[in-house]
Amino acid sequence: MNVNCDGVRPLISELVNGSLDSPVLWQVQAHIADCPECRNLADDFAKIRVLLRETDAPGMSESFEETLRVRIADLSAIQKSDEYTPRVAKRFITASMKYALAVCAAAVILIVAFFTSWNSENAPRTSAMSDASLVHQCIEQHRNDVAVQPLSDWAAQNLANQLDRQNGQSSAGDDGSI
Amino acid sequence: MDSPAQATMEVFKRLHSPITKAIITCGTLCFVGASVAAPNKHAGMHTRHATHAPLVHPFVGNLESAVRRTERIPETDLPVSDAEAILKRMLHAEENVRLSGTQVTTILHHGQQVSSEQVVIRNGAKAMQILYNSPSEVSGMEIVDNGRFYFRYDPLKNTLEAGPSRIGRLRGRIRQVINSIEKHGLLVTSTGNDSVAGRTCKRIDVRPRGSTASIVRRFWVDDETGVQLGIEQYDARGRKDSSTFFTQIDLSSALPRDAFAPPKTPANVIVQSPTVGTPVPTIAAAQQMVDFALKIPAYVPPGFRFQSAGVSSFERRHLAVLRYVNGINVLSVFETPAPKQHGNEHCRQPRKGVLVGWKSDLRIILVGNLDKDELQRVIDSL
Repeated sequence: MNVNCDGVRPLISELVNGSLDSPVLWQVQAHIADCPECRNLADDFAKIRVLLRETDAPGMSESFEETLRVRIADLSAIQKSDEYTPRVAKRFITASMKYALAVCAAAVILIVAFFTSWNSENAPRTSAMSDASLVHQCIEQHRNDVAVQPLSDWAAQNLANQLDRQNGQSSAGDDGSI
Repeated sequence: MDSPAQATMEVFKRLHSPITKAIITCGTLCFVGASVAAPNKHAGMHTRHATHAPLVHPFVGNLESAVRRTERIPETDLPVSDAEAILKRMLHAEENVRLSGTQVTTILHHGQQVSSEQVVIRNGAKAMQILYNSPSEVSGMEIVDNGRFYFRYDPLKNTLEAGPSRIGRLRGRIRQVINSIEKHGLLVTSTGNDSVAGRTCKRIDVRPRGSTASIVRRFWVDDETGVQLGIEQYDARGRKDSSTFFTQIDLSSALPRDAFAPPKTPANVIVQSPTVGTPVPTIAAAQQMVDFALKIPAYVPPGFRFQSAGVSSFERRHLAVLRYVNGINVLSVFETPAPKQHGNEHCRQPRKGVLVGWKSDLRIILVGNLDKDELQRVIDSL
């Protein structure tokens, strides 16, 4: 993988979606840790995701049901009138409009399905990614402090931090120095 | 950008904090003088020695002929044979001795033993330079802490991390540990004589008083100067975590004049700010810097006391840390606000010595060389 900005930017949306696999994920994360521009881009993606997640679905007004009932009653009355029904059909429910409505309905269903899936599956993965980054930062800060404690193996703390930085963040289950 | 002065100016240009900019400007003027006076940095510092004597530890070399003994550490009042006195003497040496040499460090990393070789130049607790020769992942990496600034140059990533000095903190902490020794807060036992880098030394084991671990640290302390020639660090279950030994050491007082100048970097180096955060002496001071209520552990393992706090950031939120020490080990309690996710109510241990959990709307991360049960008790007491 090309680990420069041009190589990383196309993968940022996948990074935020949590769909990158480990080797590429580590390379992208390592690049982002060092590149303010790509980091800002990733932050922006993440913010957009958070905003989408936090935005409530538009609700129905309290009078919706009542209004609907009235309109159904009106339509029923109109349908009872023999001469009016063909006019309504001709005016509003043309063949092309049926097609457009079907496309719109399908699009709405797809969008709803996409965001539902996004929230339920990808959000925890992104949260886990963020969690891993937080743990990585805490370990690095801890080691940096331990490196200036008397009676500590400061060289080991430095080495562990450098290796973690080079290889991406420390892996789960790692038994290395803390 | 060829000179350290230019490199430092680049740091100055790119760092965010105006205060840091001002500090670095002052330092740049000092480094310019040092660079002009002694341009041949590291001259004579990269001597390697292939021959190793049959010694107790595999990383110990027989390099007696290379050692010059020009600096002596004042004797303490206690008899040198006393293990506590040896440890005190070693701490005094940590604070004062000038040395240069080559070290080998071995750690466990992702389940594998990894060794590094690094050239170290040190002026006690005032300044330090580390230049890595191996392994390949860190070869050429240079860390300089000159008492005012900290620099870490990574030639593989072409990055230069620049920030405030860290080594200065060592001085006050050495005094804290000496106090702890004088109050018999540490159990120190002499376990015999040895030889490291061709120098005779004492081997001492140290652990906090009351600790259930059989060993926490083992040191090799130079008989003549008190300098720490080797260290082994053990985890909470008594398994060896890491070791560092000198394979060659020069205790001459004459260090290269520009040993602690900023690393020489290419013009297009990427300058970064470190993530260490702002250290503060009290929890109250940390509380004033963050926008959430800090949680203070009601329980910390026996022997641990609050040492310092710090505030940094993670994903544009405050990340506070409370540090507790027992004279040897450090327990860091990190806290940051985070919206709670479903299914994350329970603590989890992503790796040895780390426990992650929630308290109200705070993400809590404990890092320390402690058993999971002890970490759990701390997080439960928040």
